[in-house]
Amino acid sequence: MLRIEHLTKSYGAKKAVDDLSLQINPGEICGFIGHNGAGKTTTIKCVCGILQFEEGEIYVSGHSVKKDPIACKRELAYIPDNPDLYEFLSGIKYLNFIADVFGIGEKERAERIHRYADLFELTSDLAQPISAYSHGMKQKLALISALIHNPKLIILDEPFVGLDPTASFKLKQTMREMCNEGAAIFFSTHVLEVAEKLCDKVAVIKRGRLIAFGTMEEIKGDESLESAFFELEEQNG
Amino acid sequence: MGSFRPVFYVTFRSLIATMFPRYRRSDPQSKRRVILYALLFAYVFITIVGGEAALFYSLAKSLGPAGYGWLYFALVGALVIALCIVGELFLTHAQLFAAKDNEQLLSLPVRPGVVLFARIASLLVLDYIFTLIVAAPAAVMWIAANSIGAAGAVFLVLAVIMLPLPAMGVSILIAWILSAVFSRLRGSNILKLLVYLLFFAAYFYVVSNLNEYIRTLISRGAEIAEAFRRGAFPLYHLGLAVTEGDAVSFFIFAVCALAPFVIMTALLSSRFLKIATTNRGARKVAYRQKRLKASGARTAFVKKELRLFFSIPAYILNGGLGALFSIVVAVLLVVRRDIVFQMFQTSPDALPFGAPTVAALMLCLFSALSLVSAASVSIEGNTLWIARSLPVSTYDILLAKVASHSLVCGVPTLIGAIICAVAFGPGIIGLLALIITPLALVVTMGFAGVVINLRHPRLDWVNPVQPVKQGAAVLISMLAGAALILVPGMLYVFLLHRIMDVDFMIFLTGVVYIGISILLAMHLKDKGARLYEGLGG
Repeated sequence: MLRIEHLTKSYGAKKAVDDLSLQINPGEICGFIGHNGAGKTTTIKCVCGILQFEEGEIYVSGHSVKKDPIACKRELAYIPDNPDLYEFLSGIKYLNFIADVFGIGEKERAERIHRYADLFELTSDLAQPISAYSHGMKQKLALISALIHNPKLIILDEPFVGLDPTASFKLKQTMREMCNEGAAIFFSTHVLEVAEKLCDKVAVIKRGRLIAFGTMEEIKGDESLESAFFELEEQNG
Repeated sequence: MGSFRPVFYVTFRSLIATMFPRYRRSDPQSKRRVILYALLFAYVFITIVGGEAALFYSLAKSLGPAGYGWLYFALVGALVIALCIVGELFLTHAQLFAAKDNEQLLSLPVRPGVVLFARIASLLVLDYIFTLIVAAPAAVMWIAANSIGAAGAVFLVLAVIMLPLPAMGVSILIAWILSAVFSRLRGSNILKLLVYLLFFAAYFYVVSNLNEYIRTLISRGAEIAEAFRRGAFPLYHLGLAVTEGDAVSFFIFAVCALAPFVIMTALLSSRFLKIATTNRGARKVAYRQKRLKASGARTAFVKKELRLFFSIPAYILNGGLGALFSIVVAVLLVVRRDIVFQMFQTSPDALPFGAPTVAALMLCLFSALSLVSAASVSIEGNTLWIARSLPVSTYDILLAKVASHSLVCGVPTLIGAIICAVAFGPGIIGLLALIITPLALVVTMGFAGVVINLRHPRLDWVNPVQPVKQGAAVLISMLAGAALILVPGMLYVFLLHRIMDVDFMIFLTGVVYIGISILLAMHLKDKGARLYEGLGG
């Protein structure tokens, strides 16, 4: 579903991501962990076609992000760490805009919008302008907008920040359900307990280089993910 | 005082940041931009102060010897107060009643009063600039034409220090009322726009009639002096204090100048914490499930751009004023042509061509003022990721900006052209010149605006007014619009008038505009798209 091959992205002389390769298959949830400034968001933005990169290749459902970005973007959904949305639109108009862009039929979009809005308890606020939303509400709206076109690959940057416990629980459930239906999820997080419980695979990044990538068992063994993470950090100090 | 200084520094910096481009030592483009701004400001400053000096000199020469010296300084005082109110009213509203960083500042170990007074002090600094722009040439011209005593000079300096205070008091009062109204209304954008337009119209009316006022003032000085003495006695006493060196008069003026400022700041100070921390959002809109109309991706982007444009009053005013003028001037040309000619300080007899040609030229002039697309990239700010992550080609995203610009500015231009065409009944070439050329110029400005904004983006704004009003792209687009009008105009006046009729020249210019639009579209598809894709990081 997602294949990253030797990705390198620099900002001036500094390499933000250095020769990173990984693969996520349909039905897998992969957690992406690392310190602040390790290169997580840069990698994610490259995958989504937001950032251009110098070396390497990224494939989404077999389409190259470099050569056919639009085909890739049709297959994926992206939620950034800070959901800055169009504040001049109401929630429902924003969702309708996203549905228009993905060419979703009227009946289908209405059904999906209301299903997810009910799930995240946002239905009564859909007519409100986004400028009146709290951070958590914006996060929920971004999640709904990401889900309404049934993406095959969902990329989330710190998705649990700002969500209330109920929404957080429902998001985890939805992530698992979508993977059971064949989607793949790649998300960055600092909450290692969540990653440990939720993920099939883990990728650990440090100073732009992938220092570990594998199944949860391969990475943590008998330890907790937290202990394994600190050990990896020390080994690659 | 210890905590006032850093808070003042922060509030003043943020106020200045909304008005001037940011200078980065390492960025040569930023240096050029600052130089460009400095030159423009110098030009505007010299033009304004030069015009004022001439005006004040003629007043000083006639009012001084006639014994109405006090009226001269009373008028200067009135001008200073009016300029401070008009120039700072909306800034006062934004800084005192709609500041986004109030909560952040109030979370610091600083008393709320310090935050309030730091904001007022920042606004007063700008008021003093306005005051000096008027008072300095006025004082110099008075001394050049008459004389001033030592006491009068001292009172003049003190008056200059005091004059912004009553203006600030009045600004606070009006801004407070506006804030109360805006925060309770849905669709308050329209109201804001109307208030902006009202102020703009009043300013334009006063400026266009200034010469008439001066003539009236000189011919009916005694009557006006009497009206001033009765209706604006603090200003009368200001005049007496400066010209006669009268200390009692100065005391009366000082009390009257301080009173509104002290009262309003005391009132505001007692309620500032509540104002700064109360979220008086509009009433919650209940969601009712309705049919969700589907449209294509391109249409969705155009609709999004239009909604963005109509959501920001300052954007409507700065970007679409030319379009609004197209209809207003078309109607005026048909029903009250004399007003339009008075606005441009000319007469129908002074022009060597007929009404349809004048209409075509006017519409072109206003088309060149359409600047919607010039801020359309910058205005995306931190929401740029949305368009960049969606499955739409970059060219389509950019074309949506041009299309939205063309709709916003093209429809009023077309309506204006049709009104003029029906009223004046031009010939075939005249009709083509009237309709094709202004519309073609709207589209050219649409493409040019996006191209320029891609080269001069400003995505790190805090307030959307920044890219709309102060963005370098808007300034450059304005100059590009002027060039698109002036170059063919000069060509015709100096070269081509011998070989072709003016209407044909205007039509031909329209064809050239279409050609330029095609070239810009090609540029946008290739290089423009790459520039936009490079903005994502």
